[in-house]
Amino acid sequence: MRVFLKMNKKGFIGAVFAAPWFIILFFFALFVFFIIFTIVIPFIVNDEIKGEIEDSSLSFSLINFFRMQSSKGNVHDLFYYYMKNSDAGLFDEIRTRMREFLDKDVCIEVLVNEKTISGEHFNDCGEKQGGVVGVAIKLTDNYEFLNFDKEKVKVNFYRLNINKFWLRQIRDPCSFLDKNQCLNWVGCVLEQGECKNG
Amino acid sequence: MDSKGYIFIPGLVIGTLIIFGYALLLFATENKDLPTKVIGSMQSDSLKLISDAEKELLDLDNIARYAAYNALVKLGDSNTAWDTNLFANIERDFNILYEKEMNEYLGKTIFRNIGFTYIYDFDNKLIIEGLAKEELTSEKDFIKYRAMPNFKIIVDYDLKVYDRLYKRYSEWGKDKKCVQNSDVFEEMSVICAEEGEFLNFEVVTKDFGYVQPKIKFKIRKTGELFST
Repeated sequence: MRVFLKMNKKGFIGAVFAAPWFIILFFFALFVFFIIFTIVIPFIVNDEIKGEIEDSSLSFSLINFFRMQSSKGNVHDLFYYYMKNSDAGLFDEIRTRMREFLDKDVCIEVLVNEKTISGEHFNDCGEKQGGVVGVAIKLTDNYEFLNFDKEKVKVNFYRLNINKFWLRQIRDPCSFLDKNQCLNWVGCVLEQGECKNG
Repeated sequence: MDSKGYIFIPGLVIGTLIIFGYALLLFATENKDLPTKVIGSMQSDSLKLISDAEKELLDLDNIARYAAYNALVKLGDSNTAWDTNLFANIERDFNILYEKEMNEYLGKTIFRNIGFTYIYDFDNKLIIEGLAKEELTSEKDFIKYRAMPNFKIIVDYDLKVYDRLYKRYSEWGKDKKCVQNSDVFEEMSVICAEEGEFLNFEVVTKDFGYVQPKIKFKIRKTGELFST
């Protein structure tokens, strides 16, 4: 209180002149925080919202993907048959449908009663290793349904986390995948033991 | 300005920096709800609610179809269905089996508490409509999405196959001979029954998709999952 009283006598402006560097620092800090709060944070948040909208678009796409007709009925039925007998022809058909309909940076993992299915496909997108390239994948969406045998099937959709600006530069994610993961990502093909963009 | 004035200004600056810094830290770490309250979040939430509901409805459509397949198989596999009295009530029997199957499936979904009224049409194809008695609602914050989970499925299977089978049964019953050229025979791989045992049909082991391989007669062809 005595300080304020003292300042009233000398004047606030006098105090400013007495400590100019702190005042300059003060306004500089205000400017920096202004930038952070008005530009950087909204930018990050907008990026997240854009990511959510993008994820929603995938959700609608995958609904229509599952509705697609197939040689066995629809895509649900293809998965059901594949889970029963791991037939390579069925996998090829599922993969063809996926490539027709879904983005290339998508990976599908299938769980039946919370357990991954056997075989080489639909059981590893790389998330257990912390992502394909470090933190480059995220669980975007999932779809749960009952199959003919009344089992709960959960299909997880992963995609490259391209909303983060430092990951936009990843042009060739397939080269980071091991063989098993390569078989699961839509945009990758295994050629002579090497995973390539396809 | 005396020495106390020198303390005030740096204190003001440093204090402000600390307050802003702390606020930034809060936004960055603790305040997870912040992003949901910015422009676009409501639209995003709305889309999410709609897509989630659509997924449930898609699941329901499939369940309705699976229940029909199961009911048809059980109907064909049931020895009681070959009782002459039950031939006349085959549609009623199908309804009972279908609703039992539906209840088993629905019991494992979010529709378990939503009652359905079923409308059947057995003319040439099997058409089943399910009319929900309650809405399916999903909500987030103050956004609420409602949908009536009605469904309609069409299965290319004609229950009148049982009438034709009954006709064959009647013919067989008169002269005790197999009627190989019967129109029924073209549709069903019913072999000649052993004398006095009409129920002893051939067990057809053929992959009919979802249909269990062991069935007592060949299901009429052309259905997407029943195709031969």
